[in-house]
Amino acid sequence: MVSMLQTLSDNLAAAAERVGRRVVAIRARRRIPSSGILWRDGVVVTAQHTIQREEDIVITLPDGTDVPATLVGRDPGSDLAALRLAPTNVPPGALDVAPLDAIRAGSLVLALGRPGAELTAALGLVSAVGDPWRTWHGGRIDRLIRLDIGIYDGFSGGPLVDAEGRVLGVNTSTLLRGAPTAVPAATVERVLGQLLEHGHVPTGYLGVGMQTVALSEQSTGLMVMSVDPAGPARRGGVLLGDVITAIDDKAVSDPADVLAHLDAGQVGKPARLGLVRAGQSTSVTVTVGDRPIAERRRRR
Amino acid sequence: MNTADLASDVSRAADALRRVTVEIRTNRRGLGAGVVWREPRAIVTNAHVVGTHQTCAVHFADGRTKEGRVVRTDEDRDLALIEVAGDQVEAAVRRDTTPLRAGEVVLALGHPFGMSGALAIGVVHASGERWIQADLRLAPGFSGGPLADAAGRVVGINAMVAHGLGLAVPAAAVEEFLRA
Repeated sequence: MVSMLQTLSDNLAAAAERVGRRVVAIRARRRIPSSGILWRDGVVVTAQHTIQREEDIVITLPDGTDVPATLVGRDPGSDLAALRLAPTNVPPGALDVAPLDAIRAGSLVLALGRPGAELTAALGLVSAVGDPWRTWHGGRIDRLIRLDIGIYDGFSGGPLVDAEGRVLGVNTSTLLRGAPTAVPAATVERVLGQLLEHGHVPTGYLGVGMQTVALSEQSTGLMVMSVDPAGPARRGGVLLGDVITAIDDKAVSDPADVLAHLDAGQVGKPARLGLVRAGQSTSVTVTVGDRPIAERRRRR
Repeated sequence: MNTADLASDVSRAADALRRVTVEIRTNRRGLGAGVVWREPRAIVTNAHVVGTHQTCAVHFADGRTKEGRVVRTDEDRDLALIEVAGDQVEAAVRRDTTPLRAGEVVLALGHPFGMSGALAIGVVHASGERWIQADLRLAPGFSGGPLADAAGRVVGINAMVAHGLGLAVPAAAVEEFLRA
């Protein structure tokens, strides 16, 4: 009789082996290579913080061959980056991705990596699953996944895999102040689509610096403390000293309220800003822009 | 999969390992583990467990304590061979040459902080010729003890912890050391 422990062991090793055929080593930093996942034909997804140089990137495939790769784009918000390599190097079969609701607290999970030629595995648990959240770099993540698992070389950029061999997400050690977490596969798909289309993740941009101020005992607004002279708000007629009270008729009292409204889908669309200017209520309509690269860098 | 069965499988594997794992004391403070590698007399442990001692006390799981003679050490491989007089209970079952795979469940047995026969469980992180890297939590006192697969078959001798990973000398290297 084969024991349950043996069955569990066989399942974990089989899951590691199957997904491991899509786990690559990325040489884009000094010393130890980082891990990445062949997510689609010729496209590797990894943790962007491990990509420390943007040229002369070499990827070592599971069979040991080295191939050159180019950086498609990176998104510090979600700590994801996409790399492209010749599409002939794809293993057969599609990546088996778990749906969002399959990520449950208590699930046994493997973190796979390839910090060199060999595949590595660590075993742990999903310790908690939370709501959608926004990282401190502003990225929108569809679920907060807390992990109880060891972080070893090659953790970041590798896949989080369940006992059935499904990929739950991409591991990273930087989004939760050093604690292990994973960006869910659904978020990876969304960010990857934007990276492949735009080379970055478009982020809504108004071009104003704001600070919360009290308008009366009951209400607060956001006083415009700085205006980007070439930004969308300036073009729309926003002036220094204006107090923003609403965006598209939704009251705002914290800069985070505005950020929450400025997701990728808003870029190019009009936004109506409710203002208090010189004591009078008024409104202006601005066309939401895409955050310029320099702004994005500064926020990294 | 029934988790109660899983738990009893783990304790059964631990019991089997405990029978072939010994405690090794070189003085009042030094404590390590060892594996009854083959009958009737050969016990394998780490070189750093016995140090420069010529003899040590070997405490068996059945309660007997015998004097062990350090026959040979290899500091480079961190292995030592100890022989004890008389008959013994049983020797470890070793895994055949089937290679270890990343993600495979492994068990370690040792005597951390003087606690006899403690179990640690984890998975193979990576398996090399020189070291098996295991993702499991080891402590001082596991040195010289067995690393075993899910079937309780010994695959290596736990030797040290590096970057949070347990490093074990592969069974093949132990065999080579015994042949030398």
